[in-house]
Amino acid sequence: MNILVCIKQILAPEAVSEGSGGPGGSVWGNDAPTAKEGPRNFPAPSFADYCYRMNPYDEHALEEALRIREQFPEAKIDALAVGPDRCRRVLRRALEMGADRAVLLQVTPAPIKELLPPHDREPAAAAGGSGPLSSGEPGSPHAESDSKPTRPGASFPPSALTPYETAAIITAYLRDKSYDLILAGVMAEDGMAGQTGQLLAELLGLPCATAVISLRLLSPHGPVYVEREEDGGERSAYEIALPALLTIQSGINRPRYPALSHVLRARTQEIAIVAAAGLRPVPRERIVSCRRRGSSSQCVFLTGPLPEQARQFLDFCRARGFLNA
Amino acid sequence: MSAGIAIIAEASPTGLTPASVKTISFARRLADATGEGLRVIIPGQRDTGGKLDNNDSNIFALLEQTGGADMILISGESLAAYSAEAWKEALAPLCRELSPRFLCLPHTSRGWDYGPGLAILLEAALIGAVEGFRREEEDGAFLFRRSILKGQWQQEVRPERWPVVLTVLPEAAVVNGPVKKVASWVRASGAIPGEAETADVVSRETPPDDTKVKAGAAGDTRGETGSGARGTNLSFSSSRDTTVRTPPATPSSFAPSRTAFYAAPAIPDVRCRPLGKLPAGEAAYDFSAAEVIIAAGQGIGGAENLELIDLLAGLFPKAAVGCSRAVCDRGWMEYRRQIGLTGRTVAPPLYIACGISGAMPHLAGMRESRCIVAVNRDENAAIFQVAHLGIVADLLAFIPAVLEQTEEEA
Repeated sequence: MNILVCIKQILAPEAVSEGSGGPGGSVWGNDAPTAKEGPRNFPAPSFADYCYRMNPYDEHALEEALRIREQFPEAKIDALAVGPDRCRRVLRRALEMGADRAVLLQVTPAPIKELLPPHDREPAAAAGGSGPLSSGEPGSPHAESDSKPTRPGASFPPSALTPYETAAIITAYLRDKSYDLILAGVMAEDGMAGQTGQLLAELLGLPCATAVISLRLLSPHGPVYVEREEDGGERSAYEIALPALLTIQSGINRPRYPALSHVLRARTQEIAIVAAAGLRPVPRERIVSCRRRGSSSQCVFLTGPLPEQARQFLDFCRARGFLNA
Repeated sequence: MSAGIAIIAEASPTGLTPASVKTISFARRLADATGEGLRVIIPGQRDTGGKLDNNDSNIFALLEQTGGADMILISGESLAAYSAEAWKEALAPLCRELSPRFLCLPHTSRGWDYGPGLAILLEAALIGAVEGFRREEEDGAFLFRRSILKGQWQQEVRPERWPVVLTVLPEAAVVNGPVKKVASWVRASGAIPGEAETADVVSRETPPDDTKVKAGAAGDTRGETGSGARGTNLSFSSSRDTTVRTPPATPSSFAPSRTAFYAAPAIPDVRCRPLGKLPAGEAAYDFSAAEVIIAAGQGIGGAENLELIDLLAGLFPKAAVGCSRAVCDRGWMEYRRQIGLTGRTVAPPLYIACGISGAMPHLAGMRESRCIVAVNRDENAAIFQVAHLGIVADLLAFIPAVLEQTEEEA
């Protein structure tokens, strides 16, 4: 039984919300110096580790694959990512968690400035590498490193790949391969689209269930019994023939920490690199701008020392009759 | 040639789901911008033999009250229980037939599930979780707005081809200000800003052919007058096994929008078999009696700190404690207390969000609360977008400060 787990390297929300380039400067286009891979050169944790990580929903997907392999030990798990070189980091992590093989579909997208309409090609916007949506080509160091973006109007370059492009690249790569089960996270925590899995399934002609919160496989040949989460926390059950694609919702399991033996083994494992530039489709939609939200017009922020804020908060509640006078 | 705007709505036992109503409202704003007509597709199981049942009539009345639209009922065995496979297979031929430029779906656990696959079948562009749109000044292109990175950033996406499949969030229905309550929205038939003038607009793109219909009702939103379109059959031809039935005579109290029936083709090779809804494992927590809901997010840091939330709740006479999905996923609280898209939807008089970043799924479950107070360390957190009172502080310092303050006052 062959299982494929699709993994996205995302920009950590903390790294974004703390503004600017952070301590290391170029967050968006980063191919950090510590990214060197190899059995002898084991990368130390770095600022890049803090900025980028495995999409947490994909960790749940990988964990689910590992549990299936515990049930059917002959199963093989491949981890796949699409993006620039820095994505090897999350594939390394997937190997440490227990994936058998890892492949990076390396994209070398057009420089970001060509993706922007002319009036958006301001120096600051054009200088960065990929967007926060992870898949861009590293560019020159980001220009925002010396000027913290102020909230309204601050902009950074958009992602180079849309969910459709990612799905089409994976589809092209999978043309001559065969998997019984493809797992992906329900969405990426950065882009929040939740589309790539369904798009991939349709392009491959596979049945698909999203937001899977429970998964049971009685035989490696299927069918797979799943429960999917619906609005309001309701669940519906489905029986799906293999091959199939499932997108995994958080809460289905608790992803494991890599065992030391796996970490050591992963050091000797190769990550296959496939040049995927030629697999890019004609985009069907384009991200034209990406901006930090302006501050809310209606929200009144309390100021002053904490006890003073606490008092104002209580006054606020009392004035509206929520607290006993 | 794509033209017009189609909506795929979800029926509820009494009409349409609130998310569908809001999607229609969003589509009307698109229609205002393009001058195109609306067609509302409603998939369902029932086969009423070409007659409108009570529920359909309710929906029809609702469409009339809000500006008129053609109603297309698609039914078939395969639509008895929801599955993405069945909906895609049933809707793709119909959508090819209608050939809209914009295909709007509510961004629900269904729309978001089958929408991407449908987009591939239609070779359409796809934009998800749409919160609004604007037109490019230079070329009039449509740009759709959506949130990323826990709602802190927004991106604009431009379709590069037609049709475009949009999954639409409820907030996209709003022109300005907070989300209107659906009930008042429906009642205020003619009172939706900018919608009363939309009547009798003919598509600028292509003249409507026989099977296409002009934009909805005439200016009289009560629907007593009509243009010549009344009673005309909307007929579809299809190479698939499709039965076209005669639509029923439209009651005279309805405006000239039309109805059509469409039979969903049977799926020859079902690979995803629905086994039905599961009984709720644990009874949902009942928030309805609470005047104040204190909700804990990931910012609480650990289960050991939840006591602070309880102490804060203890200050209010009628308080309940809820949480975000992240808290449940970490096992700090039970799922029955989860508030958000995949949990409960609440709208208490006062909602206090503690350490909640405010990503879309959570906002969907609480943004209609009358008053929202947010406490978060990150001043950029999206929760402050919907909050009325914001406190930028660490919960583990702020809540003790509040408790201390009450003790001093006592």
